Parts: sequence; structure tokens; C-alpha cells
Amino acid sequence: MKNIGKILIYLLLLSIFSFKSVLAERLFIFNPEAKTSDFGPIKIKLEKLLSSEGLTTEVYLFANSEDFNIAVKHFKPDFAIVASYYFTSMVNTYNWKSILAGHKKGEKEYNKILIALNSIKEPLHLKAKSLATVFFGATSIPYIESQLPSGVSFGDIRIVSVSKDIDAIMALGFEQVQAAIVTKANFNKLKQINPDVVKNLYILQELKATEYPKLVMFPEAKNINKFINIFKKMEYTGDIESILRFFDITGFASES
Amino acid sequence: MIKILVIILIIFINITKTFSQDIYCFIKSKDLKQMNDVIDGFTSSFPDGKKVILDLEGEDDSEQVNKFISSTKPSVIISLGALAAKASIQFEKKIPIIFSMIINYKRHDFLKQDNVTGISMEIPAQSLFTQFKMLIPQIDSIGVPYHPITSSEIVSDAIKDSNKLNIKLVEIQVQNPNNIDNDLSGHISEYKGLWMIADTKLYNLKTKSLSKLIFFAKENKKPLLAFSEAFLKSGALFSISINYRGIGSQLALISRKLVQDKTPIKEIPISIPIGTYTVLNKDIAHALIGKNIDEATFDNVDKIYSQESEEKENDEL
Repeated sequence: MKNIGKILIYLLLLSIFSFKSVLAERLFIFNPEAKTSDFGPIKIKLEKLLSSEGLTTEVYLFANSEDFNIAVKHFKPDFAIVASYYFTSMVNTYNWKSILAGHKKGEKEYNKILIALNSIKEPLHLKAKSLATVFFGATSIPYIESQLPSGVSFGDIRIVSVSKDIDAIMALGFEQVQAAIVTKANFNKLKQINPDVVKNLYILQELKATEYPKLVMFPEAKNINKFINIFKKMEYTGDIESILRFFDITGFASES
Repeated sequence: MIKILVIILIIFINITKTFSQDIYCFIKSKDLKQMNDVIDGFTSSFPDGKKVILDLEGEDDSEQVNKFISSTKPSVIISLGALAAKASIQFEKKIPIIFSMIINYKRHDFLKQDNVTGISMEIPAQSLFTQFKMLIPQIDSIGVPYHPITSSEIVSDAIKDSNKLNIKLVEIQVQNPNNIDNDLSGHISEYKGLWMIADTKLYNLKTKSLSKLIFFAKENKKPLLAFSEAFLKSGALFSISINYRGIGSQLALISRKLVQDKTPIKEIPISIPIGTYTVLNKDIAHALIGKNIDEATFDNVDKIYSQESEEKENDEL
């Protein structure tokens, strides 16, 4: 009798949980450019924000595309925030529609450059050479691949991982590596601050512009307008600042 | 007939060599998080590199090292920490050894061996000052308190680096650590910021110089660069320390030069550390620079510390 009671309570809890899960929206995040692998605080802050706006949402962050794809199949999310190049490669697979685009002070894309020592005359000379860039292991490989100049693949070069552009430029300036991928803004900034360290470096190639992450919807998504409104009015302060900082943006705006 | 047998033997040896996978042997002095981060960084940059790891657990056990190297037959030995380096260098005279995680490696004569290279743990002063200027572009003079016995060499090297950035480095010799505040006051008009170097004679449990330095910096609104994140809570503006995953990535690069490119170890000099880990105290930044601080400032740091948000997070937990 006691056991039957226990089973009933278990079934009741299970049904409550399932009911809650059915009601909740699901937001998946795959952002390989994130500066941190500590996803816990972002999940908590985003869930709290969405809940305060009346949307019970389960937020899941993924460190790699494989886990993301498996989870999409099993958990049928409603929305996702994904790196722009990942959006382009998967838009048809998932029938995604981009509903908002991340921006940084109004700019929807950023430019990176390939800088090198004067001795490297063309991108193909990078084969078997070392290149410093912001890199977080397997998660970053598709992103690096998307950034490399044509004719050079990830397997051709030796990545030296750094956590920020300044380290990559200094490493190149000290001739610890032969090339680096950094933002043009940071390279120019360092040129002003420490011209001595960059005197033997030059821009080997301007890389194609990359858009900031996008908020996308899956075909079955509901509460679309509510989601759009919440993300659109995000301001770069307090808890929201750290959420936006995770995506390296200052806000979301309509796709133009 | 003998000739044919010799040729077959040579072919066989070459085939065996081609198909045998190179082994990268890590010997770590202790099971420290920092050392594990180094190994993670190595793996992430060189996922195909086959690793074996020996943890000495703080014991000077050269016999264990001897057995491990003999049984694993690595192509490269990577020793993390002085204990591991000493044990492996004593035993192994041929296989290339790369040392790392040794503070002030120049003090250790045992590292001078033909089959040894390494990565130092001292971040070049030029990197530190560049980051200082990135955060506070108007900084043109930095005071550096130091004890002449322990840190004269570091400071004189740093002066050369500071000149490259048009920064005047103001030497503040401190003979008595407990009087550091008097020494700092004596030069106060000469510097706009302060640099705390890891001077063991100045900053240790027996002296009050650490708390006095931080208090002085806060009181006089001098941005303070510390060598560890631990000093941010009490009032340093920012800290720059080693990025251990970056060290691992550099070790992978050196290992591949040795094994895949067959670069002789003598041609690989001891490297400086590439990666830094920068933490900024946002509360102090606001107090020094004002609330209108350029947000781009925060892009060039790894972590932002804020007491306010830390307390909030603790409350939520």
C-alpha cells in the first residue's frame, strides 16, 4: 500500500514536470565565440529575465554543434541564438527564420584581419606555421575554418590559443608565432599604444566580415512577438549586460 | 643475399617508425589545477598528440620517473614544475625535455642541459605595460615598489620595456616592507599608476606591505596592476597572470616543432609565455575613471570582477 502511494506521488510529480516542460519555451544557444565556457550564470540570468517578462523558458547552452544537433532532434526547441556562420550553414536543415540580429553599438558585423610577420609574403606560406588566435578547442574549429583565407585549412596551420586579441598581437610582435587573426580595431589600437611591438607586422589579408549572433525561430515556435520584444528591449546594464557580453554584442535589432 | 636481408630490415624499421605513434610524456610535480589546465591546453591545440601522464604527487622520485620514461619511450618529455623537471633532467640526457611552470627558471642551474628547452613563467613587462595603457591610455608613469635584494634585475629590465611605450617607470626602493607607505608617499607626484611585482621580500605573511600598498593606491586614486586576481577584492584595478591553457598550447607548438619538423632542440630557445589572464575590477575602474568608461575597455580583459555582482550572485545561490 505504502509503495503504491509512493508510485502515485512519483507519477504525479512526473506529470507536473512534463506539464511544465510542455508549457515552457525552449531556447537553445550555440555561440562558439563566447569568451567563457562557464555557461551556468548565463543560463540562470536568461531564464530569470524571460520569466520576469512572463515567459517560462528552459535555456540550454551547447559547447559544440554535435550536442546542439542531437538536442534539437530530441527536445524540439522553439528558439535559438546561434553564431551567424552556423545560421548560414543550418538555415535550410532546420527551416530557421532569423528574427533578430545581434549588434555592437549598431554595427551588425565585425571584421577580422590576418596579420603576419614581414617574412610571410602570402597566405599559402602559412602552411605548417603557427598562428595565434582566440581559440577554445574543438568548439572553435568551425569558426576558425570560416575565418581562414582560401587555400588554407585548419589542419594546415598550428594554432596557438590565446584568450584575447592583445595576447595574439604581442605573441606575433615577440615572434613567438608567424601570424595571428585579430580584429582590425584591436590591431589599430595596439599600433597606437605600442608601435615598437608591431613594427615588423603587416596586414596579410582582410578577412570576410562576420555578422554577430542571431536570434532564430524554429517553425513550431509560439510567442514569437513576445520573444522579439524581450530581446529587442535588452539594455546593456546589470544582469543583461553580462548576457549580451556573452554574445559580444550590445543589443539585438530587427534584421534589415 | 645478405644485402637483400639488410635492405628488407631497413624497410621494416622505416615502416615500424612510420606507424609507431609519437608519445608526449607529461611529468607533473603535483596534481594542481594549473598543471591540469596546461595539459588541457596542450590537448585542445594538439588533439592527435598521444599523451601519457605521470604525477609525482610532490615526491622527489627519480626512480619512478626513470621507470615511466623507460616503459613509455616518449618522443618528448614535458615536465611541469621544478620537481618534475629536476627528476627528468637528472635521468634523461637524450630525449628532448621541455620544462614549464618554474618560477624564475634562471635560478635553476640544472635546467642547463643540451636536451632541454622550456617556457618561462615571467610575463614580459612590455605586455604588462601595453595592457595598462590599453585600459588607461593616459598612463605615462608607473611607480614600482621593490626590494633591492630580490627584484633589482626585474625592475632594470622593465625600465627598458617601459621606454618603448613612452612610460616612465619610477623605481621605489623599499628596504623596510612595513614602511612601504612612506616610500610610496615620497614619490607620489612622480607616477600616475602602480605596479605590484611578485617580490617575496616585500609581500609575505610577516609584513604589512601588501595591505598598505593596496590602501595607498585606493586612497590616492592610483590604478594598481597586481600579479594575481586575489588582490582585486581588496582594491587593485586589475591583475595580469599566466594563462595556463595558453602555456599548454605553446608546449604543443614546441613539441610539434621537435617531433614533426625535426627541429633540433638547440635551435629552440626558451620561450616567453604568450597567454595572459587579465581580470579587471569594475568597481575600481568606475571609481577611477567614472561611470562613462569606454565599454571597449572591457573587451580586452578575460574577466570582470565586481563586488556588487559577486554579492548579488552569492545571495541568489
